[in-house]
Amino acid sequence: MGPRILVVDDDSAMRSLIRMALQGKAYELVEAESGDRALELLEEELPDLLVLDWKMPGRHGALVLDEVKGRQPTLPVIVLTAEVRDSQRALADELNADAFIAKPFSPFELIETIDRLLGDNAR
Amino acid sequence: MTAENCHDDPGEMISELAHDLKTPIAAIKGFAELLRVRDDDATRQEASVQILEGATRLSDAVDELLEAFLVDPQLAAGLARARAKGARAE
Repeated sequence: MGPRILVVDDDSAMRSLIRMALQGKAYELVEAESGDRALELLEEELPDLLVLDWKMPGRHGALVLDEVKGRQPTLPVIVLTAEVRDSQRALADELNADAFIAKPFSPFELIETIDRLLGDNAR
Repeated sequence: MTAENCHDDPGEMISELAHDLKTPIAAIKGFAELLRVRDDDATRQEASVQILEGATRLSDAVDELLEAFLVDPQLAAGLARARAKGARAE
């Protein structure tokens, strides 16, 4: 089984898009519809990479990122966001997001970013 | 966030607006890109559903935005200034 990717997004269409984009790639996908669920799955599923929506109801993506990097500093995290404010993008950078992809995004850009961050483990 | 309190925190309002508009656009654009390179039934089926739903969500978000413009003329003035700035830049 290939690397495990945890996709965190409250929007079911986004989760479906990412799921379909990664079909045919030897990645195992786990999905979370909230930040709280993502942190549960972080411990249960031990993902190799996170794709993280920034603006979610409940626990904000920034809080998830901060918690994830606190627990696993080397776990790659890709932030997906429609956020236009520079302050929010700067915050993601301060919290050590490994990549930042603006919505609307190309699914192929996301795939390339995942492959790059997983390096030798990319499929 | 409503049209009545949208000026309470202009930064957050813009963030909410961007999210409400760009998220369905992301679904439409993303699935359209997949359709360009994939010809399987599962992709066509899922993409058609998601593109249609995305268009509906986007239309609803635009309706909310237009309502805000009707309620608050300052928003319309701001849009006019932004467009004039864009025209000058071109």
